[in-house]
Amino acid sequence: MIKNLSLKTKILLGYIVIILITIGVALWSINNFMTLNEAIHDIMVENYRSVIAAENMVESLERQDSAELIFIFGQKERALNIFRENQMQFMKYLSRAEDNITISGEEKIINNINKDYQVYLDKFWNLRQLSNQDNLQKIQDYYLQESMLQFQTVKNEARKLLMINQEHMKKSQQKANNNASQAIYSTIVFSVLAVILAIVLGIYISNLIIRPTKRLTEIVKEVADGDLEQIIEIDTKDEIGELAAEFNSMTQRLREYEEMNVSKLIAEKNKSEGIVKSISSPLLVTDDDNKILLINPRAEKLFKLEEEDVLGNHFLETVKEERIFNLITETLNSGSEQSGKDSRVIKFEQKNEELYFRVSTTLVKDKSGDTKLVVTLLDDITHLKEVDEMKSEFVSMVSHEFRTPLTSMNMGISMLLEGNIGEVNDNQQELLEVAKEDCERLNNLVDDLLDLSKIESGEINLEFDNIQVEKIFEASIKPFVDQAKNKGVELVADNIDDLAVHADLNKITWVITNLIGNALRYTNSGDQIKLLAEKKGHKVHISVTDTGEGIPKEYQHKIFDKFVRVGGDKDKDTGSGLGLAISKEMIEAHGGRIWVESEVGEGTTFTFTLKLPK
Amino acid sequence: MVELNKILVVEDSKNIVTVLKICLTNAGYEVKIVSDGVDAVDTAFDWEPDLILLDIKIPKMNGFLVCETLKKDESTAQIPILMMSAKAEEEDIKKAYDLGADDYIIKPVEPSKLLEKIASYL
Repeated sequence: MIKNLSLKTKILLGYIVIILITIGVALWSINNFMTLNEAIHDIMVENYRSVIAAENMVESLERQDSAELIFIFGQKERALNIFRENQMQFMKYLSRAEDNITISGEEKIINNINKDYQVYLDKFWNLRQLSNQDNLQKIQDYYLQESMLQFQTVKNEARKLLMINQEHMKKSQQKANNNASQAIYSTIVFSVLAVILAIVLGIYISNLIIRPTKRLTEIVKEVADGDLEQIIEIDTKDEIGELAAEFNSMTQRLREYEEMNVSKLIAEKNKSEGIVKSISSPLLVTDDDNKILLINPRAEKLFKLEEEDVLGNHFLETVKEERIFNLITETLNSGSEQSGKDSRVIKFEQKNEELYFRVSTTLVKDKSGDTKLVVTLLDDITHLKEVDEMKSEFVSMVSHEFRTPLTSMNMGISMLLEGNIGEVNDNQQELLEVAKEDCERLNNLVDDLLDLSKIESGEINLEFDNIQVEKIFEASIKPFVDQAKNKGVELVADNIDDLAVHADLNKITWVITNLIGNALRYTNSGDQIKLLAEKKGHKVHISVTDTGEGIPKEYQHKIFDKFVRVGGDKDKDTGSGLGLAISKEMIEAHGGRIWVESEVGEGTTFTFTLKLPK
Repeated sequence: MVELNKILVVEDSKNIVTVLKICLTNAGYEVKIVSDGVDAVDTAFDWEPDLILLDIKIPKMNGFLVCETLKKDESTAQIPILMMSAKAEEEDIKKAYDLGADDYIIKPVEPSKLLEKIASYL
């Protein structure tokens, strides 16, 4: 019942009850005061008047008695005056007593007094009659035998009245005392009870408000901590109950919202996972502790693993591919994406077949940059490798097939040119020379193609050694000394003190020779070709600088591609267009890098890097 | 009449054969041409040439085998064998020398250089 009341009504009810208790205590006190007042009134008004009246009645009676004696002894007139005066006095007090009959028995006594006093007055009348006869003795005797006795009787009755009232006064006083102490105790008890009741009621009302508030606070805290399953069980109909109901509907909506979000997230997750799993290339995701977070079915198949067995485990414990692991840690440490390099091609042998994968590792950071993930994608390039091999084989075969006709052509033309077979005229000579030059060019092309296909297919074996750069320069310059001198080009090697590199002497010499050959083609009399070597960090930078024509900007970035020639110089160029491509492959096979810096009209510098001796 | 130096050319490419024949005949050598390995061995025993120009890539029996066979037989061991190939592989060259070949000529070759080399072995 009380649950259905509003908080305001509950508090008001509490106050009303306390006010009622206070009123009750006040009424009780007033009642006590009134009882006490009654008792005092009894004493003060009823008894006290009767006592005074009784006392005055006795006094005036005694005066009347004295007046009788005075009458007997002759002073009749004076005695009669006193007698009448006191008779009036007596009557006055007697009527007062009559008016104030309060106690039981009092009326009877007063009636007796009235009756006896009448007799006393009659006897005094008789005494006055006797006095006229002048018989003193008789008067005296009458007084002693009648009047005095009657006087005694009336006096006793008056005393009786005094006594009874005094007695009653005492009783009333006792009663008042009792009432007062009773009032003190009962007021104390009543007040204590009221205080206790007020306290109990106060606590009850406080609890009525505070208990649900506390419960509400606790649950709000839990909800704030993320437990949305909490429901407040407060079924009161007051303001707190309303608040609880609103709160419950709020958490309910929060829960629905969260469930909606969760299901959205799950859907997104499934979508992403579906995408990842449908990727036909093996894919792995590892965290910054190299633990596997995700593996797609193709990777499971490749590494012969089951997803459940690997998730959360260390990469090396499960996949056991140290080469890939090294690439992952490299990416994790450097933070840069690693992909596309041939050094990242990894060979797997499975069921008698060779599989080639190019490994790409990408570092993924979240917005805060704390969580790092590495996505490792293995790109199946087996078929590319096969195509590449076929291409190499084809190039190799074609090149060899070119050799045979070239040999007969070259030898035939040479013999004709030498004049051993017979005289040739000038025009014939010129034509034969053109044929011979193109034969040689074709031959060079075939040579370069063969070299390139060998390097590209990895057939080339580098014979690494620690070599003095000076020695490389010497070997590279040697074939060009005469040619340079004839052309008027200065060909110099910088003075290098004891600098050495870790490289294949023949291959590096080939590269420098190629660069010098190119430089010679684009330099004129008075120009200079200079070889330089310099140690920079852990690398040696070797460069070939010329003061020749220079390479236009638009060609610089593709000059290392196959069959690229700088435009406008085609007639002049007798090279195969493969020299720089081969040079690049060779330097990269050495773990180095080659680049060009050039300014048209000022010259060109080719620089490549090699490793320091081990 | 002075006896001409006899050169056995083992080569299966018809055009090269023509060129070599003209070149060598013109230089004053007696030339016999065979186009496969088996014929080469037979002719070497029968004809007893002063020098053999031996292509590696020939039918039936390759140049290396021919060279090995001839160098192992006492009657033909002293005949200089100049191996010819379009392949300039180091391992091929090494193999040829290991099998007893006297020289290794990489095709294409200048006729004058070829003649110089031949002359140095006669």
